[in-house]
Amino acid sequence: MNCLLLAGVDTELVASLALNALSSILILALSALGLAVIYGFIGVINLAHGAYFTVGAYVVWLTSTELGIGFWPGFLLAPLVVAVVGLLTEVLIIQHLYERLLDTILATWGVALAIGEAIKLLFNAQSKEVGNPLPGSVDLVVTTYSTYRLFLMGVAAVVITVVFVLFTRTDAGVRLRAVIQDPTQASLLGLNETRMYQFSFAFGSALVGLAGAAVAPLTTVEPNMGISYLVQSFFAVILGGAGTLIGIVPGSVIVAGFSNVGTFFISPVVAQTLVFLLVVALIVVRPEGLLGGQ
Amino acid sequence: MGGDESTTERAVGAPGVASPLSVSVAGRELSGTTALAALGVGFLLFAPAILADYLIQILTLSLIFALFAISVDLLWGYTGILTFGHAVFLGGGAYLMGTLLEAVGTGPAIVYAGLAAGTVLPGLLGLVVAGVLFSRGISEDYFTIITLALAIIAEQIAVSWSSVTNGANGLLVPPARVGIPGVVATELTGVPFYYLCVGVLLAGYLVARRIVDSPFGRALVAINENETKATALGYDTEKYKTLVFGVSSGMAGFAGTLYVLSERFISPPLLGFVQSTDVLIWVLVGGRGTLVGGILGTISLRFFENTISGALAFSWILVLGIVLILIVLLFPEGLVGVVEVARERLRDRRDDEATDHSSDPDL
Amino acid sequence: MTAHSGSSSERSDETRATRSVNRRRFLRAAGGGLAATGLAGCLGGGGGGDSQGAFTVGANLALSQGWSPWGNTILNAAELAAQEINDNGGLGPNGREIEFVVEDNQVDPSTARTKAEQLIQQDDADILLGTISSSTRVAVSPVAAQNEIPLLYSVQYEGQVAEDYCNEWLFKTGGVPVQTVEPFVPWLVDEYGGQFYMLGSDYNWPHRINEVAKPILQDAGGEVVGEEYVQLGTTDFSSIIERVSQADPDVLFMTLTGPSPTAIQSQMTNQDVRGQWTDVGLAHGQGSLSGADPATVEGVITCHNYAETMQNDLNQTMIERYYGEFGDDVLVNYMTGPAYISIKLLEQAVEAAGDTSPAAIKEALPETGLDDSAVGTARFENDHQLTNDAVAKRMTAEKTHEVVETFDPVAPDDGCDPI
Repeated sequence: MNCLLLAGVDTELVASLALNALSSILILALSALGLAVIYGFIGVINLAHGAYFTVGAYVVWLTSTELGIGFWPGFLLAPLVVAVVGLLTEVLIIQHLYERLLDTILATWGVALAIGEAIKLLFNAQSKEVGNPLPGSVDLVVTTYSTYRLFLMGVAAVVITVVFVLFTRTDAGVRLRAVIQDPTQASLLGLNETRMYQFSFAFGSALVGLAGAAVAPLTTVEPNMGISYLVQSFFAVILGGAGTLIGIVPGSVIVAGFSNVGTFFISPVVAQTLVFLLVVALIVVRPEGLLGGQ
Repeated sequence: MGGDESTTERAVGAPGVASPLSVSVAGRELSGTTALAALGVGFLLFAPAILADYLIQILTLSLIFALFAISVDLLWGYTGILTFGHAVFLGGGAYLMGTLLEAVGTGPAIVYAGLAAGTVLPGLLGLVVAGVLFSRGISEDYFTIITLALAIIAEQIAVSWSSVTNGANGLLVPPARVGIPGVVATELTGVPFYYLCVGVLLAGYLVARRIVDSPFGRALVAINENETKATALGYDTEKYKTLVFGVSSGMAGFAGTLYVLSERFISPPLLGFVQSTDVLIWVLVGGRGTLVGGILGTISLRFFENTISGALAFSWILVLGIVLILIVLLFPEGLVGVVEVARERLRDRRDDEATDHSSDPDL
Repeated sequence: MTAHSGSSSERSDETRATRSVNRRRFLRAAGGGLAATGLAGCLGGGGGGDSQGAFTVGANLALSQGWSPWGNTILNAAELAAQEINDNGGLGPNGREIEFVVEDNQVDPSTARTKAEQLIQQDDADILLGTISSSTRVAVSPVAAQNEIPLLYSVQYEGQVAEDYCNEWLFKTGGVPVQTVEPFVPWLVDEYGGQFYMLGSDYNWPHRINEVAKPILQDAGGEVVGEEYVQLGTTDFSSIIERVSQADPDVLFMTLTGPSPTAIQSQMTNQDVRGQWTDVGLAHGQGSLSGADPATVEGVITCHNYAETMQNDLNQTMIERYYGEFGDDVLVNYMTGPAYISIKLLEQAVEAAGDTSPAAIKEALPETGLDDSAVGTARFENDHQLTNDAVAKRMTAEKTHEVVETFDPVAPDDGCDPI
């Protein structure tokens, strides 16, 4: 148990902790945003979400280590690859299960298992390391912080903002949301409903693939790395309010922030358990989520 | 001699037309399902004579897991509640029994206490969890996700709370003795224990069958089909769902206590997410909403996993994942469903043939 | 030998040997399964097959969850030794050929038990090799004893405080604390300072090691400034590294296993804390660090009873043969030597007994020993535990282990009654 006396506070430590928490929050937000598009809009519980995250990380590992073409091509490629995977999942599997959405949960779990095992077969189950593409740190006066992490936070923030703008301010985005929430609109607006679903699925998957690629240099790349992000992403979406996009912001702040800070002060397991209890309590009290219930 | 069309089984009396799926015993027809069931039970009863010790061991554990599968089928197949965390109750019952045996003693009294505690406490926990969540009108999706997280957390807690659970190392449990407290006590292992498990499974099946065939069971099915309509018809759906969850959790806990008696070892994965999804797959592949499907799916999948898995060049889990996808897409009714469809087709064909024959002037 | 930095093999976790053996097993199982109705007794049965057919070593190892470099190196080493024996006419008076049946216990005690039973009853194993993690070993030992099959355990472990230490069917050729921790800790205090932060994976071995190490540390004038355990398989150490940094130790004394060593070394480098203290990892080595960037692991200190850089001819020959046979997909590490030796000692036991039955092997093994072997001294003296040299090693920039100190072989005290 690490007890910090807040009087005589170590500003450097507080600053690093805050930045660590912020980077966790932003990464989760990216992943949760992808899930919010898929689950929040389309209503599909995609248990392969964690596997998509893992695929994104492996793409980056492949390009930077195995194929030797560097980190950045992988970083750009990962969302595309995962978008394709997501699209295939939608077209081959989910599309046929819209009548029975509970069954998609199982089918997507099958996809998750298959992807995980395929990764193990292709690349063996040994955990991998992806080198830091931006080594060194930046002097922020209060503390120095890893350049890559700062870059990461910036990219996540930008992407999230862009996605919000796309979905809420542009015509296309607004139409997309309307159609998904009320499919009868599609024919009235002359839009192809199937295409909208496919696009949304691919887009949501791309976002989580990007999250996976971004996290790869910070952690160990291994076949099961996505599971914790799966659960946390769902928590963030539900907490914020499924059906909204903006909800993932407070959702991620609570889930990732609490988890991160809790891990430092208490222990990983206790922190996770507390987050879980908190989420359940919040859902029970307010099922539509913090910002939901429009 | 076309036979009486209203009882198609009897139509088999038409000469030259024998149904491959019904059996004649003492002049009475048995339906295909009953015949298969009799075969299944017969196999279970005679298994120790034909299978090696090691396979009996696997079968014993499969029977225990089949009981677990029945508990999930009640919840999911009949009531439509999908839970990804039912192993928490299985493992909970197991740890309760294991801790008692390890810390208190191995005599019959302890065993009975363990059986009771391992059934009642998980059952109560199930009632509480379900009660709280259902009374707030939690949607199906959220419920499923919460159970998923519950399983993950439960496993983590089992790993960290090592003072009680011995953590990731798992708990080695001394062999239990059954009998009459203070009078006679004997260790129960091997073939006798196997027969005990066969008996328990059959009993569990009959209990579940009673539940399902009762008005309570019909209410559950109604809730599964259309909950709003069921509410409109006057059913207190939350109460029913909570009750069945409690019963199901208790049953799962009971299966957990048997697990410990059989394996004498428990470790955290028994509570976890993977175990919870495994049972779903067993029930799905066997055929949900049939009770028998759960038993069939569990025994056959576990058999394959234990005999074939080592030989495959790729992994069993990959096979499982693909099977899962295919079953959900193509055979959502599982093996039992496939058998039913086959029977329907055969019956239709037989009816056609019988009808044709009846126009044959020679007959 | 070349050091590896993250380039992996295209090979799956299974070696060639296991694939062919598993196919044979499948045919046996499939045939047996299909003929189940008529051939009672043809399926499985007790362990230990006849004395003429192949001698089956049941390998119950961790080949996944990030433990595959260890599992695979043990398997390769054992196969290498077995090949030498087979080339020399086989094992025992009937010249039985040694073959391996391999199971992955996934570092899970429950799975390990099931696999052990499977190896004994379904595959007729004459002897078991494995496991790796102490928690899986403790789960498997009772199964070996019940079935009266010897279990060869060739990995460093917690020694006399192990729950199964006195199991008479268990033969331990891995290092114990009295050999690798007792001399090592005071030496560390002398070299690097006495403030230790202890960080381990959360299962029995790390706890026991730290229990043994703490009094030794205190006697040597040091102190424990932090002690922490993380879930097995943890790969996120960012907060933990912060905490360690706050505690400002001289030595970070790590008993992390699985994928954790690579992860923490990498993250410490990223968080720019390397150099603030000395990294000591009892399970760090070319096995667990095979995927690591050399810059992240240079300077790590370890101590085991075997190092591939140990200077003796037999060792060098073995290593050459190892790489010649298996390539450098799976590196030699501190587990390789003891595994190789286990099979060599098995050969010696069978020669002495003139019999390959499990019971005879069990009686004869405690009398075996080699004063001059690839791992140096290797002799069973007490409690079925091998007496062995120990060396402290430093990881170089090429990810090889430079021996920096040698400790005398120590025989653990005779603690078990009757063995």
